[in-house]
Amino acid sequence: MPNTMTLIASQTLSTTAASITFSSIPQTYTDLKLILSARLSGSSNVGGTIQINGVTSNAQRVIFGTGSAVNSEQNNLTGIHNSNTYTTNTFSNSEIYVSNYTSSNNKNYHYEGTTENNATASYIGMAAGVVNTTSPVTSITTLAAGDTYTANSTFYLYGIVKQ
Amino acid sequence: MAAGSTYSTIMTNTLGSAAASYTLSSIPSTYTDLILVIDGSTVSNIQFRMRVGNGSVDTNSNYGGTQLYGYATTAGSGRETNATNPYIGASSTTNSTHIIQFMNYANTNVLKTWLTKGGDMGSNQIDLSAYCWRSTSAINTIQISGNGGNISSGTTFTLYGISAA
Repeated sequence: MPNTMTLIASQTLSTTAASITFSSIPQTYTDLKLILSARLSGSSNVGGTIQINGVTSNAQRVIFGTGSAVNSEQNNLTGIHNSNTYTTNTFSNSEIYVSNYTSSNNKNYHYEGTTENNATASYIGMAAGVVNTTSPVTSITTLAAGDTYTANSTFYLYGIVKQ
Repeated sequence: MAAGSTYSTIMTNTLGSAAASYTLSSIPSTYTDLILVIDGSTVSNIQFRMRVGNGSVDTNSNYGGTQLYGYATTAGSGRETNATNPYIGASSTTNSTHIIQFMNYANTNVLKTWLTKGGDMGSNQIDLSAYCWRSTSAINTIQISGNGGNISSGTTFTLYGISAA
């Protein structure tokens, strides 16, 4: 029986990068799951936007907690990553799930992630969003939103097949 | 010896026409956890709701849960106690994704619990919740419904089984 969840590709940074792209995504799966373990080079811990097929127009609803407050917003940021002020050698964990990525609908996705920090300030967030492209997904790009991902940040793209 | 698959597709279906509900039945008890992915919409701004059961879904007030949500610029939390048709998430005519994870769904020594996560841009809401069905019966039936309206044609329901070993 073929595997339901299969690693399509992965990238581990050996140096900083402003974005990561997975291209030529095979059309043989049903859903996609992108798992990130990332750290930013700068001091902001709000980083990351998503492009699907190079399309940047997206909107999402975000809820996030800081450890002492909770907020709800509409924005296009798809990433809550450790900044350079966070505990050394510590990376955030996050996941982006794109369902029915080969369909002719606009592409909706789910994001969840958390920073890791040995301090009182840390973030956990969840988002639901949509990218206005009705084409099947052939590429996904995650950008560090004005910053760069550090070396040793990892990105894994899985395909999930329903049959 | 090659290891068996840990993450397996149990069943999948796409609605060919709008319907008040969709039921997944005869769910095998051979996995440890279940993941149900709903990708679709409803005919208006309503909610996805769910019942579970063994043989048939429980329609009695045996469900309870806690919700965390973001609606527009408001973050909030709510509770359902003694519910008969527990909440999954907001829905609208815009396609949305909702993921439900059932832990130990076939273990007859524990009450059944699940986590839901999802959001809907059409209704400007994102939802996260944890629920309990006060029964030790194994879950082999799941019914998803639109609360106050139909689930749209084209909505897909895919159920995955996760094996611990």
